[in-house]
Amino acid sequence: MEFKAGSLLEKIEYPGDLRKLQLEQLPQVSKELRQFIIDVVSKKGGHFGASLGVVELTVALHYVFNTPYDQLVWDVGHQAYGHKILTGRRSVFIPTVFTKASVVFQNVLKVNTIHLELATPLLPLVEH
Amino acid sequence: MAVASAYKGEKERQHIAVIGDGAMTAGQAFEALNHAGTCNANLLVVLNDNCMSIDPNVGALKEYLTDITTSHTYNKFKDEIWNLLGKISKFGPNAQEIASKIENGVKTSLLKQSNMFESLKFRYFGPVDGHDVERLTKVLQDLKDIPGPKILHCLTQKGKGYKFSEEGNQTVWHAPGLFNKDTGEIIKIVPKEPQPPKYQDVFGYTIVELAEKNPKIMGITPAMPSGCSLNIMMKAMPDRAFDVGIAEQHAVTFSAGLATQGLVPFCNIYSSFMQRAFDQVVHDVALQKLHVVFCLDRGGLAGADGPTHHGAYDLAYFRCIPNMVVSSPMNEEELRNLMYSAQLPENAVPFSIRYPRGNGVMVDWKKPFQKITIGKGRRIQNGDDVAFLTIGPVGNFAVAACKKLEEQGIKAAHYDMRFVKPIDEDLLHEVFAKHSKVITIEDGCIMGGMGSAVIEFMADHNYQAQVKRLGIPDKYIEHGEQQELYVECGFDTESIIQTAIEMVGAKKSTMVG
Repeated sequence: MEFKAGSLLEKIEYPGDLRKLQLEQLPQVSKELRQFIIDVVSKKGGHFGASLGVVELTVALHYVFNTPYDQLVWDVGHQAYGHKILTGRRSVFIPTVFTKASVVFQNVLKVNTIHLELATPLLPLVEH
Repeated sequence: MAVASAYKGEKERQHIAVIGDGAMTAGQAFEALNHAGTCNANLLVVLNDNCMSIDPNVGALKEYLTDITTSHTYNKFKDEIWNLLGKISKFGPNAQEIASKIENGVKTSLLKQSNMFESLKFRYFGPVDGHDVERLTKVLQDLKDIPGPKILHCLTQKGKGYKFSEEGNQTVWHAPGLFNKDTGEIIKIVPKEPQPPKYQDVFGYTIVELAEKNPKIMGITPAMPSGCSLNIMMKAMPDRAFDVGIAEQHAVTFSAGLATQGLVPFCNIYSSFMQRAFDQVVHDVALQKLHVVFCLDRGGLAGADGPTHHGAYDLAYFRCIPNMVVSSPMNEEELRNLMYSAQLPENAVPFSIRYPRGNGVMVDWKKPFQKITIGKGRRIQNGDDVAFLTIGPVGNFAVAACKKLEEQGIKAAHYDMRFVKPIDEDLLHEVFAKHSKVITIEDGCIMGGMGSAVIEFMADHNYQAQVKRLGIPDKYIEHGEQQELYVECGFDTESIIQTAIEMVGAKKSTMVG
């Protein structure tokens, strides 16, 4: 199944790519990121509402902070789909939502109610 | 992480934690805030406030957050505060300290009470519109220059930017399954034949049925009313069913409190989430011998939600607690009968009933209640070659395995233990008197579960037998369809058959040798 990212999102493999963009381009990136989540989840299933709600927050956090050197933690994996897409996992995100190799909840540390989605472990340190 | 960075001298390194307003109702969030406020580490907490968990959030915190958000005076002044901060922060740390005081002063007077987060020594900013990406970016850039613990209150809408999830039911759109993105139609496969109900729905309807007859019964869920189907009782009997928020420890001790007053609380918590409340079960319920009924939904492999949601350990972690009854029904009728038995006055002990995610096996499930005696299992089938001991719905795999093995000339006996604790010793004496080949099967961790209980029994009573234990091995099981995972762990019908053939075959070859 083919999922096509928008023209800006397509060029973003890691957060460093996002930070090369101008501030004015962020609404467009957000739009493309949201559309990509809708495209994939509608066909593959998975959590939906929570990730759509934090699209702009996800983009802004990765734009402002020097991730993955700066540490970003999400409380639950299912609001971190956008985060995964911006952090080198766009291609793995696609076919895996319901299969065994799924990364949707992967690398989630759960400490009581707090699920920690770590920005670092799956990322090559290309940022510095 | 922030404290580690401070210790390592990485002064510029930033640490951001995004937490939902639902998760914020959990005690641990406050424990962390309380500690972090005194650490002076570089920490930004982003409170993602969408007024929802899976179901709408509940409780006083929600109302407090709404108060902050809707304070008109505050909203009117917030831009000015930001301008002020933006300018002053360029002057370095001393000026920032002044900014802090100004800002605190302004905000305290505007809210007419001290801000809860600032009382915890966090600097509170917000609320900001979480969908205005440019503004959000500017705000975060300002915050980056301010050292120490800070909290940014960010207002978002679950399902934002997609017409159907914005306008539709947010609980449905939390995880809708497959859908047509153009029409918003959620794709459901509607079977022609009537299907067995979900176990959670059997719980939901049965508790209402029981509560209609027994006025002492109360229902408690920590933020899973739709997930565990307590919403049926919340609608039918709103004064007797409680959603206490994502707060499992409180759910258990709250239930204990109700039980001290002679009520019979049914506390429904997902098996994996019950792990958070172990101490409360041990000290506040079991030690006090209180009549609390724990219904553990999602017991066993939960499927696509993966390792955080598999209910692998409950049989093992409840079995070691004194006074606890640990049970699991093989089907819907048994679930109803266990629930019925658990609320009877003669069974006024801590009583747990665990059942899996998903559908049962009986289309016609609403049978009249029958009492089950605590600690009594049942023999499903006689057979000479090998004995299956099962707990819970995996018993149905054993039933299917017995049939197929019979076709191959192997006669298997099957016992549904019903209780892991107290385990039915009469039944086990019968099993080990008759059988030298025994297979235990459970949808739970092998280590410490029902199979372990059987082996302990053997050791205590000097029985000799070859025992093979099937269940969840000592590793984390990833995501997958439930059936796929049963196969992976080796306790689906086919694996049971293979294990039986290996054992019985081994017996024959030994005899030949």
